[in-house]
Amino acid sequence: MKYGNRGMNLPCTCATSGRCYITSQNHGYEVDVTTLKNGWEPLFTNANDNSNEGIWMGQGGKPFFSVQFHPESAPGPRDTEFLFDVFIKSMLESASQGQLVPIDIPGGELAANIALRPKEEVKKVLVLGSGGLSIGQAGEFDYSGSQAIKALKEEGIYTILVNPNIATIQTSKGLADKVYFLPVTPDFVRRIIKHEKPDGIYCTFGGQTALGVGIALKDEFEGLGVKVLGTPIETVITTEDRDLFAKAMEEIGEKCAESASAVNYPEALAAAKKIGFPVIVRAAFALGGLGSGFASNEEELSELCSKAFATSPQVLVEKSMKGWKEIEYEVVRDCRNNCITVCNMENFDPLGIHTGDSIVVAPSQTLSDADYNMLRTTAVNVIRHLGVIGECNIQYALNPFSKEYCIIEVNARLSRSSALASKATGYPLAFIAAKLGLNIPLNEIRNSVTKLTSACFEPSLDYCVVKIPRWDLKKFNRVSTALSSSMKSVGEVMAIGRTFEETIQKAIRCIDDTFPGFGENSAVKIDDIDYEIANPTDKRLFAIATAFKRGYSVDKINKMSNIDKWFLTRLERLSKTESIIS
Amino acid sequence: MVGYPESLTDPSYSSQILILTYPLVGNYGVPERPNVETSSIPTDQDAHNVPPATHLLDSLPLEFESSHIHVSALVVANYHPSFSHHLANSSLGQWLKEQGIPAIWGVDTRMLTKRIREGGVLLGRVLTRQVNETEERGREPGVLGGVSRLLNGLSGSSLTRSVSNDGLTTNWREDYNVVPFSDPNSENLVAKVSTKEPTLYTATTGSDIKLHPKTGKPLRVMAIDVGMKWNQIRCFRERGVEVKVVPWVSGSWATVGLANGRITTSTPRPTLTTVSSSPTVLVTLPWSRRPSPTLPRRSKTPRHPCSVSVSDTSCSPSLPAPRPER
Repeated sequence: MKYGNRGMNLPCTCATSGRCYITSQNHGYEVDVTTLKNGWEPLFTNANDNSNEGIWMGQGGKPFFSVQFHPESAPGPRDTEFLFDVFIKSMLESASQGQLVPIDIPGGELAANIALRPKEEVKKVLVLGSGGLSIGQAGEFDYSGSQAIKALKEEGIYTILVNPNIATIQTSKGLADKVYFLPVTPDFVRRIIKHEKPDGIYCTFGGQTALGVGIALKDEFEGLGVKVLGTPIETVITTEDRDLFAKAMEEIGEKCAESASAVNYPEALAAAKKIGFPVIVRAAFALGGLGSGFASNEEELSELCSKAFATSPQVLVEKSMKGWKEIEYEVVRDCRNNCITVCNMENFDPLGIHTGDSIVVAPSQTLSDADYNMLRTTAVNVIRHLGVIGECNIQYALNPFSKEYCIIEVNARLSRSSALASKATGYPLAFIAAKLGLNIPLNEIRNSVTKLTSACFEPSLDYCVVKIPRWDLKKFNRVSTALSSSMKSVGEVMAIGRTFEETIQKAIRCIDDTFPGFGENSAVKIDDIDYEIANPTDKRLFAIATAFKRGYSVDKINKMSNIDKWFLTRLERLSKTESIIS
Repeated sequence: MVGYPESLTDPSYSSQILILTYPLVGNYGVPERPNVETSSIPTDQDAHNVPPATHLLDSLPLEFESSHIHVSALVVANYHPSFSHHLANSSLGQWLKEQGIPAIWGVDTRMLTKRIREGGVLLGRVLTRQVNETEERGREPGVLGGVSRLLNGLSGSSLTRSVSNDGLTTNWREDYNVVPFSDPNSENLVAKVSTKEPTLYTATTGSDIKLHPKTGKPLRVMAIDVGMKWNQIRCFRERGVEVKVVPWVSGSWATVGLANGRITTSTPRPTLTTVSSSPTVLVTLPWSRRPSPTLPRRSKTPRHPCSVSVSDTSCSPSLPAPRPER
């Protein structure tokens, strides 16, 4: 092989089950499968270049097998560690029977796997848009809807779109075959279905609005002759209802934050007392964390509950993990259980600020391979257990001083983070998710950029991506500028560069054309930098710059803000460079 | 991004120059090193991978795949000695210094990656510049030093050189300590990385201990070490299986010769003849000239049940993680 197969992201397809695994490799030679004889057969094939990655003696043959990749990973994904179990099982069986017992490769039979989830034969599909723009629901859903429509058109499917927002790409000419400029509400959607009689419906491309419609109509779809494509509505409900979600996570032994749900204030208070203050209160079925926040005493809890119960019938009282790292993964799963994590992201701001209001860095910068793959393995286990088909987003809180972590939430739909991940990696998440909804397996979809390699791969970046939210809080006089667990930003910018310093500078300059970069900023008035750093508002980044100017150390700012020292050291370098050149 | 301690200690990268495609390296430092004798001995003096006893393996950081760094040099785009991780004990640079491994940063690794992807793997070398006492004195290291040098008027000699350019293309070698190319494929890398003494690793305490169905003794895998990674041992131990790691060739295993087409002329041709006396064999090859199936096919069917798993890797100077084609 010219340059071999090296890296931690090489997809290998198993010959028996058709399953595709992401493997860690370092080899420069391949087996010429045409020369195999005496009962040897290919077992694994590289999904990118079709080179051989493993051989065995076939079903019912002698229990010998060999692989070219590293099933033990380290570094890399742990997808193929099961081969050790196959090896040990073979040893035990052969030893107990005193003869060679054929091995069984897990994952089932290819034919059975295909029969279990055959390709959906749909001719006409309804895609739900997200409706009007609001905080927490903006251009990203226009993007995901447009991608989905493109994917469906590529498959020759007649697409109908419902979206009242005329100022979107997805409603423009040449995309959907038919557009209904009607509100995305259960009533209108029902009437459209009755009129158009589509075969299938996608509810996961229109944010929370479309999901809400899907949940409201879930019992009617069958009667109307419409099939829900992609992630089943039950899965969506499990991820949205925090009680059900906590139970589902318990089933696979994964940790969620200690929490309890409540439907009124006394219940919430009892829960908070049991868990212990400070707590975070979240409203169920809410968009952008609306009506949620931190409470460190009873008064704050009462205030939060009155807000939360105004928008939601149920709130969740959770143990607060303020100061922990917040990490996100974008995971894709197809109908045959193939899973990949397309991108992981680390929040610059520790837990406590809504992701939509956080500065986000992709890929994660301060995780080790063990941390990264611990969370990756969990992400894959979780979405397999939940049965997501398509794309989903999983958020973790990671203790910066140990390996302790817990799952904050799972979004079983295209989200703001998936739009960011798509742009950051170049992986068309929404496009792929729409195809997966038709039960096309991931390894059979071609990479839409190369057209040659498989879409079943994990992009490995050789650059750094920084997203910074844009707030317009100045325009709203009576709104508090404090950032918390409900989202306030109205937009975001993304920058790409080869170093963190370069990237964050680009991003800061993009937010506002009057911002010269990281440094003291006369346009942003900061009265008390100590308070600002400890209690984040939209100006925290500039408060940090001022602090460095005044001689604060990285350790001091880290203690005040819990922002990882790695990020702070990089910002300090920018500040030092500024003082040298000015 | 992630995985540099694992890759640097992976014996399959033995004698290779490792180029990391992710530009920011060393972010999470290096965990505390095991107190293994070899870890402080420079690799050129003792390249043998001395595996620690079972209890020591238990205490080892998961980030280590062997007791010391196996690559011959490291090339990265960007490096800063600061690091941040709760397990970290020192910076990456500090660890490389301890082990005597040269490393270079400030290289356009993306361009280098593209070249290697188009031209295939090739021999490389990392040269150090001859230190000019007067020029180097009082220099502030790193990027910040570079910035201040730029601003305070470029240091005399480098400014003249970049303007006049004389001799830059032809005589650059004069400024460097030139070492000859060394071809790792001409060395017996297996002998270099393989363990010297057979070592037994018992199953992890608390794991579901597997017993041999006939004898009732703990189930044991024999692994011929031709560049084994510690995580392979961990994977078995965590599953309640003992692992006996044996040298690639030794007196007591006189008949087990495992090699491949072109190690050195003095090395016997590969044969795997006496696996029959072993319970189960796991073969991991760090390096192979030929496709691995030759191994299992040549082996006689053993009397005892035997599974052979070969993981084949190569050892030309190469990329650890080429960017995927998208």
